[in-house]
Amino acid sequence: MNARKIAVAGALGAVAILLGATPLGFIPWFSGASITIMTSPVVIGAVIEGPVVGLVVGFLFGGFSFLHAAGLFGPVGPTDALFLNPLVSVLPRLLIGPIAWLVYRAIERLGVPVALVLAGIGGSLTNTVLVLGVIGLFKLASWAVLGGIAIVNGLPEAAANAILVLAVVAAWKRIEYGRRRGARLE
Amino acid sequence: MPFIDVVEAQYSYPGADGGALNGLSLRIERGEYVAIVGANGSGKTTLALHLNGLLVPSAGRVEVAGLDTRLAGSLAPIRHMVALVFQKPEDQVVGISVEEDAAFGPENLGLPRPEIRRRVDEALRRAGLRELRERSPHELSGGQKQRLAIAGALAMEPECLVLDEATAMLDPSGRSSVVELLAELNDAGVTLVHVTHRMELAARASRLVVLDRGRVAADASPREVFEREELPRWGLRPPAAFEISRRLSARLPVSLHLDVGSLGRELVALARSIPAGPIDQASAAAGRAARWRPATGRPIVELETVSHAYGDSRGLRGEIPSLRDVSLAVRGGEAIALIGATGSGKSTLLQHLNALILPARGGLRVDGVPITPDTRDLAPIRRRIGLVFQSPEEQLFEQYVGDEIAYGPRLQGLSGKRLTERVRWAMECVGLPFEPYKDRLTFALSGGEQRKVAIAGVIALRPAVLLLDEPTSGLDPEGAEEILGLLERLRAEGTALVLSTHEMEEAARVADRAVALSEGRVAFDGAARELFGRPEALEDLGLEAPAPARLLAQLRAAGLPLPAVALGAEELESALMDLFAPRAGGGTKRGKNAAV
Amino acid sequence: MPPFDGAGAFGLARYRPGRSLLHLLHPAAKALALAGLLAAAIVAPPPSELAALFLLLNVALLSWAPSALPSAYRTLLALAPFLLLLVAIQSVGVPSVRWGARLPLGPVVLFGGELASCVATLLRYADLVLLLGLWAATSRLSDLAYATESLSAPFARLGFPSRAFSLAITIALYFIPLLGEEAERLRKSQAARGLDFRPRGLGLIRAVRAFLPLLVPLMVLALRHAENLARAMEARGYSSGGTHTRLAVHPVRPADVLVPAVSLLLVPLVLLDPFRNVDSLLRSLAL
Repeated sequence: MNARKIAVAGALGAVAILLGATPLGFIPWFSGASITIMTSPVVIGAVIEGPVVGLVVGFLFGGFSFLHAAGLFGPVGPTDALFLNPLVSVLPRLLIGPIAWLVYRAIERLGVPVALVLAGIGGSLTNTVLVLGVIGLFKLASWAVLGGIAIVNGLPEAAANAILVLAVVAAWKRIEYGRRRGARLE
Repeated sequence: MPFIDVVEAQYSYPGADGGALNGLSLRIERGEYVAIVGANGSGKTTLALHLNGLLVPSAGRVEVAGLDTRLAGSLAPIRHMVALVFQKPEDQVVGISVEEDAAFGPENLGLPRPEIRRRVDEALRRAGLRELRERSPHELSGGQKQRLAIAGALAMEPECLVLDEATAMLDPSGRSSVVELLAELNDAGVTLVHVTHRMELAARASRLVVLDRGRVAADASPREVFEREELPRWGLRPPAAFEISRRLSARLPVSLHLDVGSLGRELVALARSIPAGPIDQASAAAGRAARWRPATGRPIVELETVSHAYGDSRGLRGEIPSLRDVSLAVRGGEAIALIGATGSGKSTLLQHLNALILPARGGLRVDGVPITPDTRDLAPIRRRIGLVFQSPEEQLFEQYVGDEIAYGPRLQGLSGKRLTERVRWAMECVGLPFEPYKDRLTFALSGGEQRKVAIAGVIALRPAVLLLDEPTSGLDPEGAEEILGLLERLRAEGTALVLSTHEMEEAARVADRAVALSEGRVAFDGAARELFGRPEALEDLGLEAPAPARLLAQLRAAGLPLPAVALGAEELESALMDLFAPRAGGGTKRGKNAAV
Repeated sequence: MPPFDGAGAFGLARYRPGRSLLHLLHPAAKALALAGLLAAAIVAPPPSELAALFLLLNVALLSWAPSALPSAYRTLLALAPFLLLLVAIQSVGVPSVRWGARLPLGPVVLFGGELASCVATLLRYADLVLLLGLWAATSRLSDLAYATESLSAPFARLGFPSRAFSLAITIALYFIPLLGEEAERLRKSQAARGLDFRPRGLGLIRAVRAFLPLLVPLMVLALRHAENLARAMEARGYSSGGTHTRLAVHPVRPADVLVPAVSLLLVPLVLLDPFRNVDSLLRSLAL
């Protein structure tokens, strides 16, 4: 890994941890529900610097959520108990980056903005499906409940992450996107 | 064989039109102290990055001790010999502790542990960081962090240290601590290459290289370069002491000086050499100094005995910025310079003035209405009193410039034609033409343009008072000049300004009232020129007075009868002429001086 | 959104300085031992082993880092509601544990086996929390990077970027408080332009858009920091795959081999279930 990849992995890992440790990472939605966007730094790392960087950022994110569940970074919520198992908290997160990168590379020729959106969705869904999948395998919750969560929570999360990945990478790489070119002014 | 030999080097950044280096040649010998100056875009940073192979020329060559930077095998020995220190202190840390950070370079060299230990100890000692060795780098001040970056470079035991604007982000005390360290290193035999846009620092070098459009335009001693008449064309200004002494030398037997101290000594000697008694011109000059009258009228925003302490006892930077019994009223049309060293509470005070922080103790009133935690909607207050944070370009997020500036007004509820007109007005205010710029990609603009966009985003709320935190920090002189011009225009249009700064020249130029903070207290509140006439008071605050004020203080301390208040170089010059010309038995008095 | 102060809200430091056996243990040895015990706690089926570990951990915490105990129990208390739910899902009504005495609890009738399984589940989570609490109380943050590098060093020969990995951790730890401060500054500067974070209506896109003024600049800043840092690292002679040495080296002492060895041995041992007799005794006694 060259210096650039290491530095990007470290900086985005710090962002992912910061998002998890502060209200920044939880976008309030209706009726008190919140959408988490912690997978977006992982996807951004993978798209900008490749799958290995995505893997390292994912590891930092997963490692954090594991230690966080044990109360090492401040107060925890009841459902954090699920993440006390590294197979739930760390393992699925390792795959977010590489899968997002594969999606991005596969679609890149159709246009970078589209590829960014789909990589954001792909990374986020990888997280949802694998985390819930492992929980299901360990019989910590019923499949029906998990399926419900995947739809009610997972899909909006994927959309939110896609928006964020697009906005950040477009800003960083100075890419124009959207049908409208230019400011929304009359 | 020269130590560093740049021969006809060419380089252009991908996607940029025009080269950054256009056949640049430069030789640097061991032990030299070379300053590299030039306008924005002249190729200074690009050259610095070439000196240890972080960039390699596309044509021509760069050799260090005979090793070509283009050969992969020579990179390691070259980076061992030539170390680089960059502008941003916080972006050079690669260690959990100060000590581990300093060890990063030697670790990469694969040195044995006892040798790393010795080098780290030695480097930290030289940089004055020995006591802080176990601290986390995050806890250091800006000046300390930059000295840590230098320590990290020194631990490589390089023969040459290249500094790329390494003092640009520091306050005066941080800057002088770094500059003193540089002088010591050069005395100890380290070759120094200092890329800077501060001429006072460049003047300390023994050799000054001017870059212009990717080529060497001049290469001589600082004094010789400052005398060249092309200087303005290269986008440069000589140091203030040089400028003052040059003006004086036209009419007095004074030689040219690079620093205020030696100019002052010569002037004192000159005064003593003329036998005539003191002439009663000083009082006349004092009378000329325009009297500052405090602004009257209803205050727009008032703080009354406000105190504030950050709850965090950890003291992230080793200091807890706080305010103690601060009272301040800002009236329409005023321009206030808020000055004080880093950590004196300037930013905290600004955030109180637009209700981002509500006073824990004391009161805040906007247009006579008290603001309390029960105040339902703070947004109108924040629109009336706009705040531009330090490095505001970092807050940009919209794809297009027009939308970025429209963000605030949109939240305010503006739309359609009115919104467009507001954005157009704000953009023209900051000097960005509406049509070409509104549809430009925000992130593709230059740093200076981005800062203007950010300021326009706040001005677009049409505040009656504009607060600015260090509005020119990190900009080159040209960019800083544009921002200052913009502030003067805003002021002329009736916007009240409060700007925090540690650059006194700036404060003197824009503001007529100065409020000095020291450890959270108001140490001074009154006419700016009165404060700048007292360099010793500024020094107590950890700040440096403008050059003319320092010179004046030095002359007064030597017993010369000069007024206590003077600001610009012109005023100082006429005061000196009043003093010397009659004694010297002649000299052409300007009409302005004779009029009194 | 309530104001947060970067590093302040982020209670990263759970370290309690000391000179106990655990404090002085080699970071890599400690990490290995932690991994072994975590695995043992996760695989151990019956409550007796888990209870033994629970007792042991309490004793260790009391003697080596007593001030870490309250926060560990606070965490357990916070997890409790969900843990009880988990217990209900995993243990109640599962055929394999429907053995032993019938215990009428109001309208529900519990089997002794179910109760034992409930206790085991609760103990398992308690063990995990205490274990991590004990590790964090006796380890510095810098140990994290150091342990990663030491443990992965053997794989460096196979091409694993061992040093790069530990550098990334070091850099992340340095950037967390820095970016935290910057996030706070961004929050304030957007608030000065009129931003509030109250969600407006049900629109998902609108909810996300409200956060963009904060998140886009924050991530762009992180990337910019990374770019500058990468250049500074190269200037200081970093090259991928280059050989390197270290200033900080932890000497390896006998305990550094012994402790992880014992802990790693626990996994197969627990699987063999040595307390089988105790458990069956318990079974035959009351339940």
